[in-house]
This record gives sequence, structure tokens and C-alpha cells, in this order.
Amino acid sequence: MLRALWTAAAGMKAQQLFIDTIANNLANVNTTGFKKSRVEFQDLLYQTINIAGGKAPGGGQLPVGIQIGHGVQPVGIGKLFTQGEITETQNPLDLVIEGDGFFQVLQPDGSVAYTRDGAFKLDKDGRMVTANGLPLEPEIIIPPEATNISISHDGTVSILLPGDTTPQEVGQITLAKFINPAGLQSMGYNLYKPTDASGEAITGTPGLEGFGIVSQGFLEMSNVQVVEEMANMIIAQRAYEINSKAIQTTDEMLRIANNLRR
Amino acid sequence: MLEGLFSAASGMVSVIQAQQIIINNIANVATPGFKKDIPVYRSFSTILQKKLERRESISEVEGTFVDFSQGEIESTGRRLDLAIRGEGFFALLTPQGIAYTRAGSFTLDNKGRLTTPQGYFLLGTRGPLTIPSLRETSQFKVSPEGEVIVGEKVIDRIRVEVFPATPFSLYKVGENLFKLGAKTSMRGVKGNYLIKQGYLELSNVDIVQEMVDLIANFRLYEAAQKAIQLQDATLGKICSELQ
Repeated sequence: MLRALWTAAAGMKAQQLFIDTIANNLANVNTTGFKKSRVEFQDLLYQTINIAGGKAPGGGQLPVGIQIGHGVQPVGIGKLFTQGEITETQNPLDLVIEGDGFFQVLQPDGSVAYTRDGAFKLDKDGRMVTANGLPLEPEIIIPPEATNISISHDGTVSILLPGDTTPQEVGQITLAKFINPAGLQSMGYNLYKPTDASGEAITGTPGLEGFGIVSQGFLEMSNVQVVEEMANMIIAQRAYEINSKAIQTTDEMLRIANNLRR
Repeated sequence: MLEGLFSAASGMVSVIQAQQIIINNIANVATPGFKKDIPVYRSFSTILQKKLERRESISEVEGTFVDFSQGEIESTGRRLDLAIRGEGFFALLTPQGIAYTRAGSFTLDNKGRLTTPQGYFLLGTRGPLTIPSLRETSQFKVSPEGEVIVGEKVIDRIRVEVFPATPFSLYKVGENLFKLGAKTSMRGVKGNYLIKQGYLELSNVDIVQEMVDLIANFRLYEAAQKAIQLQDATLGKICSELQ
């Protein structure tokens, strides 16, 4: 009897985690480059009282066994790296990756982090940096006198200097991708860190070998769909509710058992 | 007289077992690929017959029966989410041997193998399905027949196992997995299935049905309790009359 209480409690805990994830997705509905998370559930161990096909007490074969489950457990929360909506900003330093790949940025500790957020700025040295000031890797420096910055689909950065008529190449944006992007660790600030599960970063040129192309003047929005999250929220809330009802019913049954002897 | 007490008490015990099964279904309402369990009671006629033959009159859950009906299929847009519409199971390689699942949310491990969230490998016709070139993961496609296409080339076919119509050949081991019962060795039955890429099969638990079962079960429990109390009262009366 108590087992049923724990099973239903496991159900409530799982739905709680589901709601937590939905809330984080919804909170980031306007975060550029944000990728939504999804909780994966699995059923818990089964207590097998009789196995189907075993010998029945009478000598026959049991057509069905008895297996009693113990509830549910989250097995992982994975990021869904689907393309987010693309909005036009006309800002020459706003970049979007259409397809697979991450921008590489250098962290203060010297390690490389990965991001889909392409809202770049220039720092005082003219380097292209993220909103948090992390420089793009490999470094790209735009001279202060440049009048026009153009970034092609393959990631070549060119500038026009005053008086010149032909653009001058100042750098090349390279992208990184992972065999298992869902295995990346989210560090917050729109950044990801590779793990053993994600595999090593594979770098390449935009537009080649399965990498997405880079487009200038656009930003990738979050891939969170509000309607979808709302629907999930309703499902999670109702599932939470019915699990709590299951606890109440079990509790009531315990009361009945206790009242057998008045 | 006492026999009646015992049979009502056994009724209460079996209702508790059924309750646990229903609550497990409810807890797994959001588990992808979950198939609900249905408690099977000994039928009323069997009990009646046994009673007429003056044998036991004990009620019990005779077995659990897995309802393998199709769960709803939800669009996720994720390349590595696969749903089976129709019969069959994905075959997985686990450290404890081959297991089967309907939960199709796969990821790639760092060697390019398709794995479940628990880290079990999805099997193709030639062992674990592996994407040969790490650079080509974005061109990964699965045809409705289960052929895995990378770029333009068919690299393997997903092993979908369809089992004979008897649903009793598989038992659950948790982690969304099923295993083949010891007595069944039949496999490779031709089945009707379609693999849908970018979709996930949800749990086939119908929350309304479970709620109804929960209430019905609760009332059964209450009724069995009343039956015990009634018999207790009768016994009490006999005892007091005798004094």
C-alpha cells in the first residue's frame, strides 16, 4: 500500500521537473540563440511476481505474469538544437547561423566556449566580441577607420577603408559542430562547453561539409514555441493533479483499512 | 462464516495490488513509449464456479497484461527522434543483452553511435547503428521503412522487431525497456510499421480512464471493508446472543 504512495510521489516529482523545464524555456522565449530543453522520462523497475510463460500452480502455463511498476524517473534533460526563428536587424555585426554549427568564443581562462548567439559588438581594440565581452575565436579585428563591414555566407569578413574602392579581407569566421550537441553542457550566458558525451569540436568553414551558412544583419531568436510550451504546461499540471489524487485515494484506502476494527 | 471474512479480506489485498498498477500508469503519463499495464482479475464466473464447487473463494489479481496499443505521436522536429507507427520495437544493445523499446528519443554518442538517453545502442542489421563520418551528422535521414540515409547513401537499416500477436512474450524491465520472455524465441515476423523521423511516440496512458479505474477501485475497496464489518457485526451479534 505504501508503495502506491511512493509511486504517485515519484509521478509528482517528475511533473515538477517537467514544469521547471517549461518555466525556464518560457523565461527564455526572447533570448537570442536560446535552445529549449526537454525532459526525458523512463519507467522505474518492475517487481515481477509471476513471469508470463512460467508454470502455473495447477501445472499449466501462465498466460500472463504479474508485474508491478514503481513509478517514473527523469533520465535526462536534453537541449533541442533546432533552428530558431530568424529576425532581421540590419546591424552589420549581427550574425545568424542557418543550419548546424556554433560560433567559437575565447573565455578569460583560455578555453573555448560555443554559442549560437550571434549578436556581436566591437570592443575598444576593435575585436568582435559577444555581449559579454568574449572575443570571437579566431580573433577578428576591425580597424576603427573602416567604413563598411561585410560578412559573406562562408564567413569571410571584409571591410572598406576610406578612399578605397576594393574591400579588404580582415578575417575568416570558423564554426564548430559536435557529433552530439545534446551532450553539451549549458554554462548560462548563452554559452556551451563540450563534454565527453558531446565529443570533440569539429571546426570548419560555414557552408561547407554540413556546416550552416552565416548571414549578416540577422539574429537567431529562441526556438521556444510559446503555444507548445503552454500545451506542455497544461499536460504537466494535469498530470501533477492526478498524481496528487492518487496519493489522496491511497491515503483514503489506508484510512478504510484502519477503520476495519471500530 | 469466517470464510466470508477471508474472502472479503483477500478482495482488499487484490484491490491494493491493482491500485499500485493503476498508479504506476498514472505516474508514467508523460513517459515516451510507455505501454500501460492492465490488471487482470480472475473472472466472476470462475470465482462463482469455484464457490459452487466449495473450493476457495479468494479473489486475486491473476496477472498484468501490457496494453501494446499505439500511443499518440507528437511532432518534435528533432532529427534523432524516431517513432514507430504500427507494430514492432526498436532493438537495443544493453550491457544485459538485447532489449526492446518504443521510446525513440535517440542521441549520438561521441563515436557517432545512436544511443538512448540511458546510453544503450540502437541496433541496425549490422550491429549498433553508427554514422560513419562525424561531419555528416546533419544529413541524417530515416526512411519510413527504417533505412538510414547519410548524405545520399543508405548505410544500414534500423532493426525493428515485430513479435507474434501474443502480447505475453515480452515483459517490462523498467527504463522504458522490454525483454523477451524465456519461452518465446519467435522473431522476425513480418509486420506493418512506418518509422517517422522527427516524431516521438507518447505514453498510451489515458488519464481519464485511469482516473475512472482509480475511483472504481477505491469503491471496491470500500465495499470489501463494509463486507468485513458486516460479517464482524453478525459474528458479534451471535456472540452476544449466546451470552
